Amino acid sequence: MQTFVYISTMKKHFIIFFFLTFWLATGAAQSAYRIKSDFLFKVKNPDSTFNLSKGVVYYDKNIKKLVFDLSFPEREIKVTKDTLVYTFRADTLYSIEKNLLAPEFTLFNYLLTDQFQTYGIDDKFFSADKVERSQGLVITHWKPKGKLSEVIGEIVIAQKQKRLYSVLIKNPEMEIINRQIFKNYKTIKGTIIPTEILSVFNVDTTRYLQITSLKNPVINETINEAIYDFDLK
Amino acid sequence: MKKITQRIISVVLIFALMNLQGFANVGVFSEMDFSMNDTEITDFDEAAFYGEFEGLNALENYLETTDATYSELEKAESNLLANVESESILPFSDDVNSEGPALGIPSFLWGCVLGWVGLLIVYLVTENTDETKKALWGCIVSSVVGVVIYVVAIAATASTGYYY
Repeated sequence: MQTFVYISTMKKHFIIFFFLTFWLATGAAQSAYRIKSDFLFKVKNPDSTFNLSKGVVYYDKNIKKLVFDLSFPEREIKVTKDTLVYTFRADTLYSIEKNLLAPEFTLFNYLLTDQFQTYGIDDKFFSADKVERSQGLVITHWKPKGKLSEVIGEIVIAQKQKRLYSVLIKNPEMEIINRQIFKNYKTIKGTIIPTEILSVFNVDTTRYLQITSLKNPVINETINEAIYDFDLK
Repeated sequence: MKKITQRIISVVLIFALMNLQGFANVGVFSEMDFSMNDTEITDFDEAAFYGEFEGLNALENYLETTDATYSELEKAESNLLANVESESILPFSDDVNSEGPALGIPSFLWGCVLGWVGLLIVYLVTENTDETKKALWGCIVSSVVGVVIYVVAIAATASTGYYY
């Protein structure tokens, strides 16, 4: 009888262990590591002219290449890796340009690495100065530490219903140099994605306006493997 | 029954303690000023912002149904391209081909004179592998010369010491 009870307890432990392992493994496998989305990027320049880019964007957080497969203005592929942008037209390298915004500091990486709600800001380079509540928003003022304070005065982050709503970046003179508004959130496989981002860049006395729209976002796509690690040779 | 109640209370207390520790560890909330009002965030006029892009609506609607490129529309002399630039832009891009050595000073000299600091400056300013390699050679050469001078100086000191 005792042996039967012992075996039964073992069985219970085994079943619990099995389900726990399975649950953890499934959770790990489902964590978001790549994103694909149709995008539309519109810019209004200070001279009232416009730029419009349309296509599909691909990003895998383990590969760290941001790939834009453009259909407008021209059919071309732009790949951002580290601080360079490689442009390919008809499978041929067309140009290499410098890009100050490495893929690790873009929305796509923040979304896949759970840094989006804080806009990638942490205690390492910034310290939270104060928190305000206004019109349903929780507003946190982050002051840069050390050398960073020579170029940035503060970053103000506003959250609405625990989601990132707005980011303000100020220069050391505390003038707003960049404002971003994040809208129209969608949840895809547990990843919360803003599908519209409004930005204003103030450069000296000029102003650039931008709208980035994401459509049909897909998380953890398993086809199109090659494009996520686009061959730059 | 008493045992079960005690166990439940213990578990609840453990969870409460863990949560409190979690909050305490978030140092950012420890010395904060929770005040009200920040109009610079809330005074954004979205309607006016979208209004700035009205000039693009016709082109945007057209591209919803067609896969035309800028050059194809240009060839067809389309009105949709009024005030639209031909370049596709990504934020903060700049032509890498215009880059030279950092501040116009040869990268070899940066490495030679400032060592690893010079190497770092060249890397951060130019972000160019070739220029960084030149700085690295400068760094290596200055290190080798430094070691040679040190060895010669030690040898000279040692040899003169015998005469005391």
